[in-house]
Amino acid sequence: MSTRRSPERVELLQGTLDLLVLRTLRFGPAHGHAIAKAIERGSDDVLLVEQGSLYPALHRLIERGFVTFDDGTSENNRRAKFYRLTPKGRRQLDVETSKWEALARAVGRILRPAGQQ
Amino acid sequence: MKRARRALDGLDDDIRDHIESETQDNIDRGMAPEEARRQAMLAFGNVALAKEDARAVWRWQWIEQLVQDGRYAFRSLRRRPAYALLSILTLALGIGGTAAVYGVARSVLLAPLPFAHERELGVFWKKTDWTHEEYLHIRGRVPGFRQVALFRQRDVIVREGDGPARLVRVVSASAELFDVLGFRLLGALVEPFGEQDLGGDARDVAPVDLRADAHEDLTAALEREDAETEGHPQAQLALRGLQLPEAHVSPGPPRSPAARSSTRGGRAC
Repeated sequence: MSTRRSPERVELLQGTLDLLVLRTLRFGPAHGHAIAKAIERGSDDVLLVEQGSLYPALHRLIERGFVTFDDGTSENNRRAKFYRLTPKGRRQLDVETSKWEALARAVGRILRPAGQQ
Repeated sequence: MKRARRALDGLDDDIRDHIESETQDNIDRGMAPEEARRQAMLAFGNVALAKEDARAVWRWQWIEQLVQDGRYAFRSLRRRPAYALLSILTLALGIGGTAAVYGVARSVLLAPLPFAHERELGVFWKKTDWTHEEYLHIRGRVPGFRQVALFRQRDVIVREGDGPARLVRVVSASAELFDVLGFRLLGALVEPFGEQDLGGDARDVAPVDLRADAHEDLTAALEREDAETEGHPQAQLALRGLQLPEAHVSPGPPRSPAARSSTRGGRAC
């Protein structure tokens, strides 16, 4: 999530944005820009995400019942939605985190077989 | 759908606020306002696409919900077959009844008659059949009507040569009927028979064509019978596919002073 595209940055894998949004909201309600900034900071500026894709992801999560929202006022004194995790979303985060860890381990084993480590 | 509306309400504000916050962050990092705004827009990407993708999420939800409701209804009906049968029969009866009532209402109230000047046509209504004398009396004496004709419908048994007898609908009519209805005859058909009575039996039937001026495609098989009754020629026409004005079309007085008219002496009156 940055304005510059450097070679060290990697584009987010398909489907991982939802997981990152759920993870970010675990710390409490946040509006769209705050979520984007949290993901950016959390990845040490490595992950490259088009910020606009955050909103379809948020609506997808609302539609599935993982996220809900309350109306509030942003730092710019504008009406804004503050998104938060639902209990269902919290459970989904645990499931998705386990899946992701299993996938990462499997890919890691293929890329670095035991004999080569 | 309420949830979708609530979620999508304020999407524009959210995105605007997002870009402004990003712009402010860039300014705080030392960028010029224009550059800060440009970089914020670049980071956000295609605004219209983001909005469209967000809305598309809820469109699919609507379709999925519809499919889910359909499946639920199907499962419920399968569990209770008697109830399902009763529901289907009730619906079928309701739809069939509505269609029948609409069909009648359409033909009676909405569909125009297949005549050239159907709005000018009227039917003189009388509790009993018009007699020939009454017709002769009013012909030419009805104000506001250009022409008056008399017709009577009935069923007669017709036999051609040694062929089998057939029951055909016959119209006994005065010669003015075709002018009144706006028909152009394609073959020799009717000799004006003057002032004689319209009674008599069917005999010697031959087919001819009939076509409506206003409906070129409307043709009706028409059979002609010349008969002699008390020494007078008369025409009796058997028409198929030709709808003559019924009493319900325009009972009562004419609708316009220029109206044509037909005087009807018929059992349906």
